[in-house]
Amino acid sequence: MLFNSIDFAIFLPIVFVLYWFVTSNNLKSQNILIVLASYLFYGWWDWRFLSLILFSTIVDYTIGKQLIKADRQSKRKIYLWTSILVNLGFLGFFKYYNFFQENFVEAFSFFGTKINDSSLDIILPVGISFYTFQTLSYTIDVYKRKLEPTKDFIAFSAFVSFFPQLVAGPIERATHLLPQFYKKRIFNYTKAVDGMRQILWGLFKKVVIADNCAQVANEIFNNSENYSGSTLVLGAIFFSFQIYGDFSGYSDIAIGTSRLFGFDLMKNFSFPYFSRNIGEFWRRWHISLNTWFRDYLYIPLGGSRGGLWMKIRNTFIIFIVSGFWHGANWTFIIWGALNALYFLPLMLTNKNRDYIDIVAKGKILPSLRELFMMLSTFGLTVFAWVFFRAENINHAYQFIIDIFSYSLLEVPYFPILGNQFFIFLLIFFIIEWIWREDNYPLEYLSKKINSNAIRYSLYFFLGITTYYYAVSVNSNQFIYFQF
Amino acid sequence: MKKFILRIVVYFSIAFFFISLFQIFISLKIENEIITGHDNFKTTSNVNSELVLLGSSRCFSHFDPAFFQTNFNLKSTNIGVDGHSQISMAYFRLVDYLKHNNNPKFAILNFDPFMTPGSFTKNGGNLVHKDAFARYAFLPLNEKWKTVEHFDYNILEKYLPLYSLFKYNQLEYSFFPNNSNYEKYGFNRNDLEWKNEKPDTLVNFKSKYSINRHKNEIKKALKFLYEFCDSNGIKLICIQSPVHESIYYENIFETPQQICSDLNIPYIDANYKSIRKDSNNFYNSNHMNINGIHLMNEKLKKEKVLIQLFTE
Repeated sequence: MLFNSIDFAIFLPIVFVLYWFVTSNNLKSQNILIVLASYLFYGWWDWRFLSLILFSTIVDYTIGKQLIKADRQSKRKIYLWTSILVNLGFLGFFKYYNFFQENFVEAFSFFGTKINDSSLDIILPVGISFYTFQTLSYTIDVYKRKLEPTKDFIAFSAFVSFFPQLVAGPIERATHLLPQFYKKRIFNYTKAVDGMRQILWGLFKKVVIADNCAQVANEIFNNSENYSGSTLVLGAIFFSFQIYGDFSGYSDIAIGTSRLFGFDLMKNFSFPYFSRNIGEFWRRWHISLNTWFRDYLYIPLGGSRGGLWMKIRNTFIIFIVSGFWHGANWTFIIWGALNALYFLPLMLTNKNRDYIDIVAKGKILPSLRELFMMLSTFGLTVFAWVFFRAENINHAYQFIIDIFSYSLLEVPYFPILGNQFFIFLLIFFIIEWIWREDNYPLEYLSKKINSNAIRYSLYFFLGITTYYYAVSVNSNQFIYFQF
Repeated sequence: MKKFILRIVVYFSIAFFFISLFQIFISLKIENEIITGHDNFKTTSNVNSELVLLGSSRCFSHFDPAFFQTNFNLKSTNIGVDGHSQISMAYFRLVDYLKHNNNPKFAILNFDPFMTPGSFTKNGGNLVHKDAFARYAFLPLNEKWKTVEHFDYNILEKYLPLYSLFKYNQLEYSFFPNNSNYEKYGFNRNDLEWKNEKPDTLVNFKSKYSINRHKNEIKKALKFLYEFCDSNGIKLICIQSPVHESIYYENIFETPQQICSDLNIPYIDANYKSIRKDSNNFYNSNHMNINGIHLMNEKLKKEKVLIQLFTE
């Protein structure tokens, strides 16, 4: 079920009413309703893969209980690795089997040995990378004794399958989300209203910004050989806006929806395109995944401790694995490696932790230096997105070669979009900029704008624009569903 | 909780009220306008013509009502539906026309091998120009037009204000009808010259001629239309207008005449050899331009069947 679908517009109010009016007196009933709603939400896409979620839930629940009983470290390690192997086994099979198989065949044929190509026609279960990492965080935290294993199977099932963030995150930690299922949720008006605002803003980002940018980006990337270098640059920029609107929009809707049900999810995006260097960008982009890799991969590998080579190795590992997590394609690996190259100089000069605050805090405009830094960081990320979006390495290579040609100096061609879209893009940019110091732009809007008339006019404007584009533009599935 | 739900309900109700108001405003605004070159039920209401012209784009672009008015003294209206060569669509359009006009004396159907029977009972099927008719989809404000019903608009398109206008991108044309590439009437675009680099070949077109394969179904559909006209006091006449020589195949193009003969429907083969062999008379293989139409009209003027019927 897509957030920007009629199905979800019907599903959400029904679950909301049942949750607060029928099950509100009983914690267990609330959790059961969440599990049922989540399974319905996921099964709407393909009910067969519900078995994977259920199996993963049972395995990690059982292993969690066994981990606390086991007294010997060796036994505990076996339990931990069982969980890791089961979860990553599913992920590996559904997501990476064909990739490895094809690359093995190619590698062997390079050395003159022919192996039968036995690639399988595998459907990638939506959101498998997300819920796999979420359940893994539970087992690892229980193993590390950071978290007591749960005895409540329903609460654990709800934690694994929680529908707002099941298919595209934020990837929650068990330490943060699971305890919220132990406490009875009490309706909070301010939280619910804020949730609605965040849903509205998320829908606007997805439907108005991302889906429109997708039209241009898809046209240019799918027919890149027909366009000038300057138009290809435009395509890459539009893809940058598309992926931001798409993914951060999803996160906003997920967080907002959770708030309607009394839950707090972690922030996943924090105005990443206003970053002044790549280090800051990666602290603001897909925060839940990056901190997951930091805590469960980078730090166990030694982090930034140790010698120079250790630091370089760990940086490359975390970025390449992060790239590979996105998809079974060399383009994602190159994308990760390229970001590691961007990041490395900052880390080696200890500048990777600079710029913790948002740019130009308390000011209306940035300084020229800040503006230059933001634009250059944006330029680097746009360049890297070419690899992320390209069909394969050859396509990315050719795309970049074509950019750096004489046609880069030509006036770019804007395919498809009407002029009115650029007005919406400008409004979007202005709203993101002026309210960049909050978790999301419309947060605490009643404090920012006293006038009810202006505030409700803004809601109406965002709502009607979203309605228009939701109906008139062919919506793309959320990009991150494929991961 | 109550406060939250109340505010949500109030917000959505106000929003719904405003978009409904906007929908009503647009519906009223376009009621008397032709947009995107397609039919407008209101502009063909209360015209009370004596002759209506039925068929597909070949009717829409070949038959100029002014010709029939001038030469036969018959007030005429062209209600051909571009993109729809089903006999059922001609019937639906005629039914809609009759709801708001006195019954005409005559109906001319452009009947040629492109025609298909269509379905008189099941909606859907050929949905060409579903977008252009979407401006009528918001049913609470419109009568149930049979032509619109054919397009089978879904519940959201029918009952959610602005939905169909947004979905089929009709909002812009509702405000700026001239932005459309279409001419208001098909016969306004017949000053075009032949635009195909290569003429179509018969092989390419043969698959489009379903008349011999579905002769019985087509005959049945035509009979249904004929009987409907008859029961309403309308004399149905079939005319086959010209196609370019490159796609003409005698064995196929004679079939309409056989069908009409079987059903006793007056028929005129206006697919004149002298017109169809000259590319200057067409803007594509199956649509004439102004030259072709002018030549066809000159010949139609002298058609005995037509003179006899119209002067009876």
